Amino acid sequence: MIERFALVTALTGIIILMLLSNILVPEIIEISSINKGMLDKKISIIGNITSVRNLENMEILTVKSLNDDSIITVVLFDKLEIEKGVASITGKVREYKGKIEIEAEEITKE
Amino acid sequence: MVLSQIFFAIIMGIFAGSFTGLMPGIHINFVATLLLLSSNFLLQYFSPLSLAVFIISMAIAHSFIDFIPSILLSAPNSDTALSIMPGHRFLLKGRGYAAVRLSMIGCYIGVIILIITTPVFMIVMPFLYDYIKRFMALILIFSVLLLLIQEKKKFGAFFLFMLSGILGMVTLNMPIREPLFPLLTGLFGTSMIVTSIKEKTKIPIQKLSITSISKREYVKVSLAGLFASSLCSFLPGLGSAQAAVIASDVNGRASQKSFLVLLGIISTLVTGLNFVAIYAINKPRSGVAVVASKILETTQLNHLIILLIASVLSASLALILGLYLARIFIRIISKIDYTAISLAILIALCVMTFFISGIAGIVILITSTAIGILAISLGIRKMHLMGCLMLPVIIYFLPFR
Repeated sequence: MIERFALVTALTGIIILMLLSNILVPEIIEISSINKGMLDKKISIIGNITSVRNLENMEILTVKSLNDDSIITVVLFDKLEIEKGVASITGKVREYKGKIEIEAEEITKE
Repeated sequence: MVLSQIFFAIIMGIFAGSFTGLMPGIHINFVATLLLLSSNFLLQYFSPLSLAVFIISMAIAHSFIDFIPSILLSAPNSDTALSIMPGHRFLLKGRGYAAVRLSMIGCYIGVIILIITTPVFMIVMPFLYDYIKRFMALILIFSVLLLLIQEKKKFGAFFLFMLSGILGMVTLNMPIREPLFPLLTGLFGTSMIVTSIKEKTKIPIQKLSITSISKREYVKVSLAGLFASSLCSFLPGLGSAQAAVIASDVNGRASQKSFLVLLGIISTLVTGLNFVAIYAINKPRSGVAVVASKILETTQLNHLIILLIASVLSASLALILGLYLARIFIRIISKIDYTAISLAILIALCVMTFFISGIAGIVILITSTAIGILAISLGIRKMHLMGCLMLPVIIYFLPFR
């Protein structure tokens, strides 16, 4: 009896969490505070896209903080033809060749 | 002047680590981040090295004191979650203090191993790092399979591994603060507490007895702990929890006493090696190590030597303080009704979860508690619930991800 109740609760909880993970928006953080301790975490930043490099299967953006001089590389595995300017970016923190970058999942121009 | 600063930093680090160790849900990363944010101010009065010494002393002390709430109150942190089951059994035999003491002895052994092996790591790790990374998924899959084969209820164990693994993947992807807290608290802590309350568990009067393991077992767990910790401390996404799973495979089906010593060894060894990684491969491997590397800015060998000396001093003082605190806790829980304590801790953990991780955290806590209760009622070892951290990491290291 208790096993069934626990199993139903667990499965229901996982489904609810899957739905919640699509609804919840990550807190916006400063580019300067992003570090290797956040690898694989989903974050949001607001910054100024200062350069866009179009490669075969991706776009590489350089994003500068609005509050200080910190910059970060944002990689987008989609061809969305992003333009320069202020945008909010949601994605996961990754490490590539020793440097921190963000693998973007969503970019919204402000 | 610098020497007095360093001693002051060690003492303050021990107090900070003791506070974070006794309070489930308050991680040393939180204190380290506060330190980084106030570093501009603090660096006017203290050298960067003193601040780094504070951080490592805090981390070492935390790894000792962490076992007290885990074993005596079933309120774990990520590094000590696996200690709840064997610790609880000791508690039920009136020997909670002995369990805490074994874990702390393990912690101290871990620091000694750290001092002895650091020169080897400094030479070997830069060459082995990329090589180990390529095979890490295989090592982890092999460890998990080995654990499953040893289980009588193999299908049940595999099911729970996958269920907790899926929960782990969903939870770790959620944009909430400290997702590990409700996840591991539910799987290993509150599930045990709810079961204790339901069964009206009474703990006997606790004796301040001590116990030990044979010299041969000490050597065995030291080697197992060293092997697993060295794999896990240099690679991203891995920590004490995964090291414990690998080490228990290497160690084989060990006694509960040996397992507690092993967990202690891994706890401090992984903590220390996360700092060594800054110097060996220029990659800090934990939140506190990241903060220390930012404060120090440059990596110098003499810094590492001072940090290691500070680790030994911190470990020595933390051991004395930890055993003293454990005796106080033992006296408290011996006098109060255990069901009442359990209920109070359960409510406290729920409240903390809500404040740390919000409503989503409560959902995670309920879900993970349900999975933990499932494991207990099916009689399956809770080690398999480490799927919550193992499965996401295995997928991370898969080459074709």
